[in-house]
Amino acid sequence: MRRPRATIPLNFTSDYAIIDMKLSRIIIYFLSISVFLSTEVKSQRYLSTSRTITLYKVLDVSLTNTSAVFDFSALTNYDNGIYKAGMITATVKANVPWKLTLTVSNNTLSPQITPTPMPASVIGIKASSAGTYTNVQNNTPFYVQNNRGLYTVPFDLRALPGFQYETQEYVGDFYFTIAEQ
Amino acid sequence: MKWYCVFVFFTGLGFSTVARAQPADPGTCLEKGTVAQNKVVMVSQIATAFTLNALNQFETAQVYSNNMRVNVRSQGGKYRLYVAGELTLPSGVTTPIPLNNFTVTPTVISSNTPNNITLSTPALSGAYQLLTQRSNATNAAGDEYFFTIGLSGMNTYAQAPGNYTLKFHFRLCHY
Repeated sequence: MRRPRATIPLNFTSDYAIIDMKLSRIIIYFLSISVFLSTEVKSQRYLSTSRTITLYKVLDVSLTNTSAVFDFSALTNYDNGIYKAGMITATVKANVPWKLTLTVSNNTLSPQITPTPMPASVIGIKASSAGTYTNVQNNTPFYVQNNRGLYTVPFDLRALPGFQYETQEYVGDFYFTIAEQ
Repeated sequence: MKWYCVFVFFTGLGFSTVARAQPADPGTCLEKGTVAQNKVVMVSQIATAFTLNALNQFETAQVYSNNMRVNVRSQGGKYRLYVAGELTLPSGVTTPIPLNNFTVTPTVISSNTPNNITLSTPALSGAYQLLTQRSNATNAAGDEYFFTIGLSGMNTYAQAPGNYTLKFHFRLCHY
């Protein structure tokens, strides 16, 4: 009774060994293919190499202007103000979202004869594409902003002092500052 | 042992899959002769990092002269050498540097018959572009080239700051 029991496991072991051998051959076969493929990659008919391109943050603004003077030489200038379309153009180069802000030295325009300054807010500004002027002043400064890229932004300016200021020349420095949003 | 073999197999297959991530071959791309006698080899490289850290570097074309020195041995027959590019973006960045912002300019350093070589200056593309072509087989020393890399068109400022990885793929074909 035991012999058949002993025989069955032997046969089983034998079959298993055959299967195992076939499997090993298959594995070795695929392993060979794998090694071949890897070798072919290193066959040097292909060649790859990498470069790191590092871009730093860039923020730049440059200004041009068609004129720097509002000349009040006629009564209508006082009545209506003087408007200059595209008086200043800013060229912005920025690879980050940017904000361009306008401030004025001391928030005033300096008189050249008498001591009484003119507030900078007599000057209004807007992007040419916009509809509404913003009076120039530092507390809530005028700004434009946009996404990264190269931009040419023309600005329209308006001077509307009325009749309150003494006749003389007033001078102001306008500062356009660009920063990342 | 069995599982070890299986592991090695899949590891090998994995490596081969990664290493074979190449653009599709050009239309005519024969492989003649033995690997030992027909191969493209990087002899040396100068800079592996291109840095744009000032405004003027974005404004003007950048030239990385003789950036790579490559040897092409093709004893099996006349050959064409192709180049392609592959760009990887920094994390979170969506706008790539256009591959055609990059050019590759080859110059022959040494060759037994340089007159049989025709050079091109292709802009990079995701597909292989012809870089050099030779109308006969080389000798055992092969042809040696410098590759100068050009980068232009960065004055749009459309790409975010960060580290981009540009991979050059070269392919040696017989024709």
